[in-house]
Amino acid sequence: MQVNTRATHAATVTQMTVLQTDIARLQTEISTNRRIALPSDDPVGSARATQLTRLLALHAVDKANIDRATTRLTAADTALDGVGTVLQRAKELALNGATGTLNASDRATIAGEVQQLGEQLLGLANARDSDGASLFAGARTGSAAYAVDAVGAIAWQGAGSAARIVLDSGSVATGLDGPAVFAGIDGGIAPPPVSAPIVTDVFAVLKGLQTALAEPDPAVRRAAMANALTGIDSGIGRAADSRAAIGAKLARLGSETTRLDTVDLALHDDLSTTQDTDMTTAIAQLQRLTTVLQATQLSFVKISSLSLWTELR
Amino acid sequence: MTDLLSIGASGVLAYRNALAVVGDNVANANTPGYVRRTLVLKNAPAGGVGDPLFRDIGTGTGAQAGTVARAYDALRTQAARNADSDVGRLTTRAEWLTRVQSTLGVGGASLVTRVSGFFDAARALAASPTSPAARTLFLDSADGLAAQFQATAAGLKSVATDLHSTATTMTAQVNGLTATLAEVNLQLKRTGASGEAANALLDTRDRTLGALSALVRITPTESIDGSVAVRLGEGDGGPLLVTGTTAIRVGVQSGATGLDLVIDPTGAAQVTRLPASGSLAGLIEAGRQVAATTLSVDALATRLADAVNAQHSLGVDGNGADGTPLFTTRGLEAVSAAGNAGSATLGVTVVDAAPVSALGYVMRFDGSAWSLARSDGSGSVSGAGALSLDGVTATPSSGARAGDTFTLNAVNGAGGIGLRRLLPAQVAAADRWLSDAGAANAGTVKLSTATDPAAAGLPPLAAYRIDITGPATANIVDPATETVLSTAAIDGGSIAGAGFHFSLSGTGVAGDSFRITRTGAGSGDNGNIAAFAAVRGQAGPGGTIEVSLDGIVAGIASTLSDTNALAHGATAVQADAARAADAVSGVDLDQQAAELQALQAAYKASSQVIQTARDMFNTLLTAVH
Repeated sequence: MQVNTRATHAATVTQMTVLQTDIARLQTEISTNRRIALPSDDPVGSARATQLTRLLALHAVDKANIDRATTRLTAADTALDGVGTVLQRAKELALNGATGTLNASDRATIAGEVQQLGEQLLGLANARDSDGASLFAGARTGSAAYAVDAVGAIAWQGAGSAARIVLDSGSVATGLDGPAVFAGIDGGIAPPPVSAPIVTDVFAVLKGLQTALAEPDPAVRRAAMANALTGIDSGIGRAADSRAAIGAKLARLGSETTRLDTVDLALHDDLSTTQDTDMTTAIAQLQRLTTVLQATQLSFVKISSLSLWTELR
Repeated sequence: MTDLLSIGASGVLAYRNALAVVGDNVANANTPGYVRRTLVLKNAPAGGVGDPLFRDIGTGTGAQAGTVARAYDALRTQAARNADSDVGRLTTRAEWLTRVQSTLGVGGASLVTRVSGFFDAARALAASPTSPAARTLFLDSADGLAAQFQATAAGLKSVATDLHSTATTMTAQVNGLTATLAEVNLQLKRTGASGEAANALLDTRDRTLGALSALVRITPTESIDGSVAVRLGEGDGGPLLVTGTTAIRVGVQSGATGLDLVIDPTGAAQVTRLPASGSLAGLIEAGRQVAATTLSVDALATRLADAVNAQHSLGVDGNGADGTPLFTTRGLEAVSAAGNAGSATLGVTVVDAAPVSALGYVMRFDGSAWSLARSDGSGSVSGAGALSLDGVTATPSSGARAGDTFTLNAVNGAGGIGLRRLLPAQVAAADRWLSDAGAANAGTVKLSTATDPAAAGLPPLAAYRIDITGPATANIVDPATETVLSTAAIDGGSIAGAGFHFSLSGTGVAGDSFRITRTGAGSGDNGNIAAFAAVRGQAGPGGTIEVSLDGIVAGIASTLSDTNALAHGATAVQADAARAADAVSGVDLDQQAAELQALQAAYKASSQVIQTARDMFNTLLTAVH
C-alpha cells in the first residue's frame, strides 16, 4: 500500500481546520456564556429556552401590572380610611346633636359641620389615583364618581365595574365601585305612613342628619336623628368591610408576587441550565482540544519533514 | 559485441523513459485529478530473426518501454465521487438553511420575540387602559411586529431569489461539465484508450466526472474505448446526461413546492426526480424548505392579523368610537413590465383601510394618458398624471413611452401586514358595553353581557335598564323615556340587544335593576384588551400562534442541526473514500524517490553495459591489430 502525499497533507490540514473551528466555537461559548448561539446548535434546548424566556417576560409584565393594581388599591384604601374618619366624626356630631339640652343655634352649628363633612365625603368618593383615574367610578374612570344631580341629590356617575387585571390564577379587580362602598346601606325605618326599611347611601344619610338637626319638631327630629345614626353606623360598617375587601385583594396580589418570584427563580435556573455554557466542561474541553491541535501541528511538521528526497544527495 | 551494445542502449532508453514517468509523477504530485503513471518495462523480443553470423539467438535483445499505465481503480474512484456528492448536498443545504434560520431572527429581533412582545404589551395595557404611555407602547410593539413580519417575508423572498439564481448558475456548470465530457468522449474515440494523449484525456474525463458529481449524483458507465455514458442519480434508471458525444442539458424551474429539476429545458422539459445527492440537490431541497417556510409564515401572519383585527374591532377606543382593525393585511408591489421602453417609475400609496383588490392592478401608458385598472378589468380610471382607484394612488414619473406597463401585485401574508396609522387614543382597550347592578338589589340575579355586532333585538340606544319584575321576569326599559322596550325571562338564555346580547340568571326580586351602558370616551375598562389573552391562547392548526411559530423555528433548526451532523459524518466518509482512491491513484513521493533511486541505478548499470561492450570491442580490435 502506498501513501498519497497530497491526500495525506490535505487530510491533516482538514483535521487541523476542524480542530480550530471547534476551538473557536468553544471560545465563543465561553466568552458569551451561551451554549446555544443559534437554534440549530440545540433545537430542543433552544425551543425550551424560547418558552422559558417568554414566560419570564410575561411574568415581568404581570409583576408590573400587580404593582400598578397595588398602587390603585392602596389609594382606594387611603380614601376609605378618610371615609371612616369622616363618618366617625359625623357619628359623634349626631350623638351630640341628639341630646335634648341643645338649642336650635347649637344644632345649626353642628349642622354646619355636618355639611362640611358631607363635602369632605364627596371629595373622598371622587378620589383619583396617581394617574388621575377616578377610584370609585367603575369603568368610567375619566370623570368624577359622584356629582350633584338636578334635584340636589348626590348620584353615582360611573358605569360598569373597575378593570380587572388578569393573572395566572384568575383575575383581580383593581378597585371597588362607588355603589358597593357608599350606597345600599341601611337607613333605618321611614316615618309613617310608609314605615318601611330605607335603603340609602352615605351622602343622603349626612344630608338627612343635616335636615334632622334643623327640624323644629322634637319627635320628628328624634326619629330622623335615629335613622341618621343607623345610617352612619351602617356606613362606618360598610367602609370597614370595603377596606377589608381591599385588604384581601392586596393580600392576593402580594401572594401572587411571591409566587411569581419563586417561579421566576426556578425559571432562571432552568434557563441557565438550558442555554448557559457549562464552564468547567467547556474549559476542560478547550484545554483538551488545544493540546490535540498542538500535537497535530507538531507531528505534521515532524512527519512532513521525513522525506526520502532529503536523503538523496 | 554490437548485441551487447544494443542491449545496453535499449536498457538506457527504457530506463530513461521510466525515469521520465517518475519525474512526471513527482511533478504532478500536487495536481488534483492526476493519476499516477507507471511505465511497464518488458524484455525485447528474443532473436530468431537475426543473422546467425552476428547474433547469438540464445540471448535476449534487451529491454523496451511498454505502455504507460494509469493506476486507476474505477470502483474506488466512483465511491469517492459519491462521497463528494453527499458532502456537496449536505453542506449546501446547511449553508442555505442557516440563511433561512437567520432570516427568522435570533434574540430581540426575532419574529418569536416580536409576537410575544406584542401580546405582553397588550397585557401591560390591560393594567393601565387609560395610560397614553401604555397605549403608545402597545402601538409601538404592534408596529414592530408588523415590521418584523415584513422583514421576514422580504428576507425569505431574497433567499428564494438568490437560491434560484444560484441554482441556475449551478445547472450552467453541470451543462458545461457534461459538454466537456461529450467532447472528451469524441476525442477518446479518435485516440483509443491508451497512450499518453489518451491518458491525459482520461485524466480530464475523471476530473470532470469528479466536478460533476460534486454538483449532482451521477452513475457513469465506461466503455472499452474509455468514453463514458453518464446517468443522473443512482443506478441505470436515471435520465441520461451524456451519451456518446451528446450532452443533454438540465435546468431549474419554479414549481408548486419550490424548485424543480428539469431535463432538456429547451426541448422536452421533463421534470425529474431530485438526484439523491450533490450540491444542486441540496440547493433544491433548501429551496423547498424556503417555500414551505414562506407559506407557514404567511399563514401565521394572516391568522394573527385576522384574529387581532377581529378582537380589536369589537372594542371601544379612547374617544368612545368603535374599534377598527389594527393591521392592514394587503400591500401592493409595483413591478415594471420587462418590455418597458421608457424610464418612468411608479410610486404607489394606499389610503388607510382601502378596499385593495386581491387581484392587483395594472397601470398603462398609451402615449398621452395613463390608465389604472383592476387586473380583472372590472374598473378603471384614466388621466394624465396620478390616478386613484379603490384608495390606491399610482403616481408615475415622467419619461414613459407608449405601451409602458406596470403591474401592481397584491401582497398578502407576512409581506402585506402593516400597522394602520392609529393614534394612541384609537386603541380599543375597552369593552363596547358596560353593565352594573343597582346598589339596592336584593335578589341573586346576575347579568352577563357580550358584544355581538350582529345582534339587533332592541332599538339602538346608549343605555338600557333592566327592571326585575318577578322571580323570573324582567322588563327592558329605555332609561331616558322610561318606556318598556321588551320583556325578558331570567332563565340564563341569551337575549339579543342592539350590538350585544345578554343573559339573566338567578332568582329575581321585584324592584331590583341593572344597567347596560355603551362605553363612552376615556373609559378605564380593559375588557377588550384583556381579551387579547384569549387571542394569544387560541389554538389553531399547530397550536397557539406562538407555539406554531416556535414549531416553524424548531423545524428549521432541527433540519439544520441534522444536516450539520450528517455533513460531519459525510465529510469523514469523503476523507476515507478519497484516501482509498488516492492510495491507488495518488503519488507517494517517498515511493517515487525509492523508484527513482532504483531506476537511476539500473540506468547507470545499462550505461556500464555499453561501456563494457565498447571495452570488449576495443580489446578485440587491439588483439587483431
